[in-house]
Amino acid sequence: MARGRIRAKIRRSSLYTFACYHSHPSEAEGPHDIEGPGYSRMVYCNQPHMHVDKPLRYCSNYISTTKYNVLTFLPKAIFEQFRRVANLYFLLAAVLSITPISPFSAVSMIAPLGFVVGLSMAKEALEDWRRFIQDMKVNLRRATVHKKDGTFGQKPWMKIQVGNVVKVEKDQFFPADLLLLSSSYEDGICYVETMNLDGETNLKVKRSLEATLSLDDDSTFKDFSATIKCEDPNPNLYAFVGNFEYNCDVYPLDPSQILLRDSKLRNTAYVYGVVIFTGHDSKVMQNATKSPSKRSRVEKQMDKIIYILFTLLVFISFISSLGFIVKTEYDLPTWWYLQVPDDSGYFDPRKPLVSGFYHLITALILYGYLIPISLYVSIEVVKVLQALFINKDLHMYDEETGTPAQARTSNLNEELGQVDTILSDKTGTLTCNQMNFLKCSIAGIAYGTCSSDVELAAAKKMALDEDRQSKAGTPSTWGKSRQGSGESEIELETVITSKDEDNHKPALKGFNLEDIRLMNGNWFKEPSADAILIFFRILSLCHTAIPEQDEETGVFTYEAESPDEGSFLVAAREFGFEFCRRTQSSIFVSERYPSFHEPVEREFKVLNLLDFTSKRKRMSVIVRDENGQILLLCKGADSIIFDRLSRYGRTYEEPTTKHLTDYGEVGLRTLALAYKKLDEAEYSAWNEDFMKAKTSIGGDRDLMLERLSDMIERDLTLVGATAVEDKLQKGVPQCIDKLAQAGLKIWVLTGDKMETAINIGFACSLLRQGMKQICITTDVGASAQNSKQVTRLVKQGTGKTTLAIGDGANDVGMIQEADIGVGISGCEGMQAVMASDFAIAQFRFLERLLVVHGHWCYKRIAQMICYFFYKNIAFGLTIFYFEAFAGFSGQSVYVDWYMLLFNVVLTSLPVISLGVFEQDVDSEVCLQFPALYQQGPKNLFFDWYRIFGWMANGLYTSLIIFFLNIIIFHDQAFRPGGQTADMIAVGTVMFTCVIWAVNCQIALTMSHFTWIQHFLVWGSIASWYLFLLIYGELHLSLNVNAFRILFEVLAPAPIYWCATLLVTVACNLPYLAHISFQRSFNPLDHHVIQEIKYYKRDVKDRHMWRRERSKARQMTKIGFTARVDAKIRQLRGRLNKKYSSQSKNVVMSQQT
Amino acid sequence: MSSGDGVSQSSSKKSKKPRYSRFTQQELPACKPILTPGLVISTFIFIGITFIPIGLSSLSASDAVVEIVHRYDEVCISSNANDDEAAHFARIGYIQDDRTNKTCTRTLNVPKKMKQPIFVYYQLDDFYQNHRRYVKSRSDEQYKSPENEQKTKTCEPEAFNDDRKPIVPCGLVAWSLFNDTYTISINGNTIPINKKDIAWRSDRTHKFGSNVYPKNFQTRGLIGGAKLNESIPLSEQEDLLVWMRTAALPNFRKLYGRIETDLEANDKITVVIQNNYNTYSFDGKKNLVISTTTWIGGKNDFLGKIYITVGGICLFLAIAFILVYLLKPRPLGDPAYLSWNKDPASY
Repeated sequence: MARGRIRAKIRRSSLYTFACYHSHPSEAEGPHDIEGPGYSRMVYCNQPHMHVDKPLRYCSNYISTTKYNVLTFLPKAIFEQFRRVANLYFLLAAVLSITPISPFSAVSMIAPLGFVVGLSMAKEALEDWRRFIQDMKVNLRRATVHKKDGTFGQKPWMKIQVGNVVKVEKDQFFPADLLLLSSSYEDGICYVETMNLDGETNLKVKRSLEATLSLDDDSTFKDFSATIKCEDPNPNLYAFVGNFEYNCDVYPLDPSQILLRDSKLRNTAYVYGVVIFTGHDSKVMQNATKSPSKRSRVEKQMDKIIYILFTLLVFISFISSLGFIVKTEYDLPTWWYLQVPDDSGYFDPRKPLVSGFYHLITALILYGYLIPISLYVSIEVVKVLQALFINKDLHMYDEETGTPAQARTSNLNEELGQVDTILSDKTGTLTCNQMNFLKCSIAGIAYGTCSSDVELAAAKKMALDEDRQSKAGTPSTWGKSRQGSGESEIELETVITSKDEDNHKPALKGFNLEDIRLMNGNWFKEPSADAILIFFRILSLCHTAIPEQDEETGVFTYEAESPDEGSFLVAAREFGFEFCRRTQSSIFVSERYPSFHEPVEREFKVLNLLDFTSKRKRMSVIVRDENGQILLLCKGADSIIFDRLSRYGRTYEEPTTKHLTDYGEVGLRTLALAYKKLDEAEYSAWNEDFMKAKTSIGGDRDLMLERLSDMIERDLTLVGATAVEDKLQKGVPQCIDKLAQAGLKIWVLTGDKMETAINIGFACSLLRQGMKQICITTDVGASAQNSKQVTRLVKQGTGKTTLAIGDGANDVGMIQEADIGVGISGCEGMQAVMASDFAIAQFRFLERLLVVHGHWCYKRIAQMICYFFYKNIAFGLTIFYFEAFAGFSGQSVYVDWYMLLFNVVLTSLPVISLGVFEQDVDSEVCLQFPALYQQGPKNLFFDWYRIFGWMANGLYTSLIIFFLNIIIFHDQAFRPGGQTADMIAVGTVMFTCVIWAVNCQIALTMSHFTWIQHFLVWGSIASWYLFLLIYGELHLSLNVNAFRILFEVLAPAPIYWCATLLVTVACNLPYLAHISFQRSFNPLDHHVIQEIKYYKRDVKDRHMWRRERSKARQMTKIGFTARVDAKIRQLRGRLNKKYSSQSKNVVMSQQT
Repeated sequence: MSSGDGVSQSSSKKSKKPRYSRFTQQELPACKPILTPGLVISTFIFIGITFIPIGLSSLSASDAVVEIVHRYDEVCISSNANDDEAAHFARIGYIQDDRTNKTCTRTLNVPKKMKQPIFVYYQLDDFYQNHRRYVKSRSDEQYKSPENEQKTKTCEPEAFNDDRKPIVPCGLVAWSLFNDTYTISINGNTIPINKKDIAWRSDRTHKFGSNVYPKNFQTRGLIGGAKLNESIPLSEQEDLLVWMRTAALPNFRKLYGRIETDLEANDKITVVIQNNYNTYSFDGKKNLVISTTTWIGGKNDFLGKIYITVGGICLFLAIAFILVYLLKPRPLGDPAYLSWNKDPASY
C-alpha cells in the first residue's frame, strides 16, 4: 500500500518511564559473566558460513511437527500399532498360527491382521503428510536476508541460518529469534506484538543497544561483524543472557533486545536483526511441548471393555482347557479312533497337563473372535470419514478468510459430543481486539445513545413482548400472537446481525458515539463545558501514540500501543481535538471550537510521562499548556482512580460510579479520567526528585519511581469515564448463548488485566453483575505454560471433558493440555492451529462443531462400539459352545474362511455405515434443541448399563443361534432325500443365522437409512450367499470343506430357510420388544423429537414446536438470552416506576 | 506485494471452499422409520400370524414321519459278567475278537405304514467325529487324484503302513469307517437295501476320484473299522463317502441305505446285524434307524414347536402392547415427555 507517511523523527524512548527501564543497561554493571555450562552458544553475526560446520553448526530454521519421517515411519508406526493390546494379541496369534497348535490356518490369521494394521498405518501416513504440508507453508515464508556486500534478498524461512542479518518490515513475523540491531526509529526502538506468544494485546517496546544504532541502512552491513556469546536454547520467553562483542567492546544483552520468532513487528517501518536461535532452538519452539496423543473418553472406556472381553476370553479358555484335560486324561484312551497317545504331545493322556497347556494356547486363539480385530480399524475408517464431513461442512466454512473447518486429528470426533467445559482464549478468539468508543460519562452526565449489542436486543425483545401482551389478552387473537412469537425469535437474531452491519457502515474505525450534545461543537453549550473540555484534552494528550497523516486525505491515523488508546484518539479527533503532531517534548493538538472557524493548533509541552504498566493500572502525563499551567492528566482503572481523588474532586463520583456499573453491565470496557492542576513550585520540587530517581542506578530505582509517581498522582479531580466496546467477533454472543443452553460451562482465560477480563466476560454475556468471578492470577500473563496449568486445574477439578479454544501460540499449552484443543485458523499465526485437534475459522463455528458434529459423532461411535462387541460376542461364543460338544478339542464348527470374512467383510461395512451416516435427528434440530447435546456429557449412550445390555444381547443371540440350530440339525435328516447334516453344513447354517441376525440387529439400531445403509446392510447378507456360491465352486485344492455347500446341500432344503428365518426373528425379538417398550414408556428426547418430525407436528403446530425450542434453551443462567432477559427486567422495573410510555430510544437514554 | 498476493489469495479461496454435495453435507435423502405403536403391534402380529402356520405345517410334516429307532449295541452282545467293569472289558474282548460270530438278529415292528423311499440309518452316540485330531486327519487331495498318493502329511497318524507305504485313503476318518451291516427281511423275504446315491453327488463326482483305488488300507497292525474293496474306486465306495462327512456332534446319524418298497403297518421286519464296530471301548451306543422323510426331512418336532412358541410370544407381545396403549396411551410426539418438561432440575 502506497500510503505516504509524515513522521516526525523522534526518540521515542524518552516517552517511557517504566517500560524501557531494562533498556538502560547501567554501564557500571559491565558484561555478563557467562562462562560454564548452559552458556555455550556462539553466534558470529553476519558470518553464517561460520555456522556451517561443527561445533558451531546449529539446527536449521526448518521446523517440523511431523511424527515420522521416511525412515522412521515403518518401525515407529508398526510399534504404535502393536502398542494396542488387542493388536498385540492378534500378532501373537498370527505368529502361533504357523505352529500346529493353532486351530486355524495361518493365512486366516495373518491376512486380517495385515489388512487392519496396514489400513491404520496408511491413515497415520496420510495425517503426517498433512502435518508436513502445514509445516512447509511456514518454512517457505519469505524473509529478507543480507546476502553480500550490503545487498539484501529474499530467502525462505527454512534457509535462514544463525548469524544471518535479516530485515523485517512492518506487520511481518520474525522468522527466528533475533537480536535487534536497529530500527526505523533513530533510537533503535521497535514495537512488537507478542499476542501469539503470551496473548497480551499491548505492544511491547524493544530497544537496541546504543552501539548498533548506526547500522540502520542496507549498505552498513557490508562489513559488519560481531560475536554474540549467549545462553543455550531454552523455553523461557522472558529471560535472555548474553554478551555482544562489537568493535572490541563487550556489551551485555538482555531480553529487551531480543525479538522472538512468531511475534510481529508493529508500528515500526523496519528493523534489522541478527539471527541467534533458529528453528527448534527458538524460544517459541522450545516452549512448545510435544503434542500429547489424546484419546477420547469413549475410547478409554472401550479399552476397559476390551479388557473385560480379554478376561472373558482367558476365562473360557481356562474352562475349555480344563475340559480338555479331563477329556484327554479319562476319555481319550478309550477313543480308539483317535490313536492316542502320539509323539507330538498335543493329545497325550499320559501327560494331560502338558497337552492342556498347549490347548490353552489353542483356545486363546480360537476364541479370539470375541475380540473384534477390525474394531480399531473400523473406528479409524469411520473417524476419517466423520472428519471429512467436518472438513467439508459448508456451514463451518468462512467466506471472509476462505478457510474451511479442519479436523486435524480424527481421534477425538466423539469427544466433541461430550464436552462439559470450554476454556477459551479471549483476544482473537472471542474479540477482534478492535475497540469502539461507544459512550462516555462527563461530569456526571452520560453521553452516547448508541447501544451495545445487549441493549439493542433487550429493547427490541421488550417492545415485542409488550406488543404480544396487549394482544394475548383476547383469545381471538391467538393466531396473531403466534405470529408475534415467531417474529420475536427471528428478530432477536436480525437485530443482532443488522447491528453488525450498521457497525460496518460508519467510516470511522473505533468510534461509534452518537450524541448530538457533544458533536459538532455542541458540547460548548452544555452546562459543564469546562469539564468536557478537560475530558477531551485528557483523551487527546494522555497517551503514547504517534499520528500519521494520510497524504491524500489529510486524515490522521494513530499508531497506538493498545487499541483502546487508538479509539480514544479517534474519539478526541471527532470531538474536535485532533492530535496532529508529536515532537520530542511536545504534543500538538488542533482544537476546533464552535466560536472559531479555523481550528487552533495548541502546543502542550510534555513534562513527564508516567506510563501504563499492568501493576499501576493507570497512566498519567504531566503537561504545560500554552498558558503555562501545569496539568496532570490521568486515566486508569476506575477503582484505582477513585482511590486517588481529592476531597473536592469527588463531585461526580456518585453518578459516574453508577454509569460505570451500567457500562459494565452492558459489556463495555471502562476507564475513569481525572486531572489535577499543579503549581509550578510543587511540580519542580517533585520533578527534581523524579529526575534524580530516574537517573539513579540500582535495584531500588523502580521502587523509587513508583513511590514518586504515586505521590504526584494524588488528589485528583474526577472528570468522567469512557466506555469502549471491544468488538466481539461475529456471532460470538449467540454462539456462547447456544453453548450455554447446551449445558456447557465456559471459562475465559486471558492474559489481560483483571478488569479487562471481567469486562470481556460481561461483553460475551458470560458474566452478569452479582456473579462470582474466579480469578486465577498468574505472575506473567497467560503464556503457554500458564494456560496449560490452568487447563490442568480445570480438568482435574471438574473431572469432565474440557475443550480449549484459542488462536495464538500462548494458547498452545492450553490446547494441548485440554481433552480437545481447537485452534482458530484463518488468522496469521499458525501455532495454535498446529497444536490443535480441530481448527475452525471463527469461534461461532464451535456451536455447530459441538452441537451437530459432536453430538452425531458421539452417538455414532458409541452405538458402533456397542454393536461391535455385541456381534463379536454373539459370534465368538458359538465357537465356545461348540467346543463343549467337540470334546474341547479346539475344533471350530465354521470354515476358516467364514471366520476370516466375518470381521473383515461380512459384518464390517454396515457398522461402518452406522458410524458414518447415522443421524438421530437432523442438524437443524440439533441446533434448535441444544439441550439434546446433554446426552453426550451425561454419557447416555455409552454407560455401563448400555454396554452390558448389548453384551447380554450378544450372549442371548449366541445361545439362540447355537442351540436352535444344533437341535434342529444334529441328527435328523434335513433333506427329503434322507441326508443328514455334517459339520460343515451345520456350521454354514449357523453362520448364515449369525449373518442374518447381526445385520438385522444393526438395521434395528439405525434410525436413518440412506441408500448407502440399505445397500450395505442388505448387501452384506446378499454377499454372504454370493460368497458361498463362489467359494463352493472354487477349485477343490483351495477349498476342501465346503464344496457346493449352498448349491447342492443347503439351498434345496426348506428347513434351512425355515431355520434361518426362525433364528433371525428369535434373536432380534427381545431387542425389538425392548426398544419398543422404551420408546413407549420412557422415551428419550430424541425419540420424542423424531416423532414430532415424523408426524410433521412441527409444521402443524408451530406454536408447540417453538415453545419447546425455547424451553429447551431457557434452563440457563448465563448466555446472551439470559443477559437480555435480565436487561428487560431491569428496564421494565424502571418503566413501571415512571409510568412512561416513551419510545424505546428515550427509554434507553433515560435509564442511564 | 499487495496486488499479487490478492490474486493468489482469492484463487486459493476458491479451491478451499468445500464443494456442495448432499453426501458431504450429510443431507442425503433418507427414510427415518420410527417404531410407532402401530408399526410395533402390526410387526408382532405379522410375525405371529406367519410363524404359527409355518410351525403347524412343520409339526404336521414331522408327525407324518414314521421312524423306528432300535438300539442294538447291548442286546447284540452276550455278557454274563457280574459287575459293570468286567462287563465292559468282556464286551471289548468280544468285539475285538475276529473269531467270534457277531451276527445278531432283531425283529422290529412297523408302527405305521411307511411309504418308500424308506431310509436306513446307523446312529452312533458318544462318538466324537468332531474331535480336532480326528477331523484334521484326512487328505482330500489324496482322495481326489492318484497323483497325490503321497500327500499324506495331514493324515498322521494313519499316513503310512508299517512298510512306510502311503495308505489310500489315509487318515483316521477313513481308517475308522463304520463296518456294521444290516440285512432286512420280512417273513423271510429279503428286502434289498439300495446303497447307491446315499452320498452327496459332489463327493462322488468331484471330491473323490473315480481312479483312486484303496491301497495299503487297514494293513497296519491296528485295525480300525471297515476294509475296502481295492478294486472299487473311492468315488463308488459310498459308505466311505458318507462316513467321511464328519458329523457336527458326538451323537449322529448317517445314511446306510434306502429301502425302495413300502412297509405296511404291523409288519414284522427281521434285521440281521453284523455287529462289528467297536463302540464298547467308550460305552457308545449304536442304533439302527428306519425312517421316512417329508419336506422337512426326518422327524423334527422341535422346529414346529419353536415356530409356534416364537409366533405365540409375538402375538402375546402384540396384545400386551395393545393393552398398554389402551390403558396408558402416550400420544406420539407429545412434548410433555421431553426431559426438560419432565424434570426441569436436570437442566
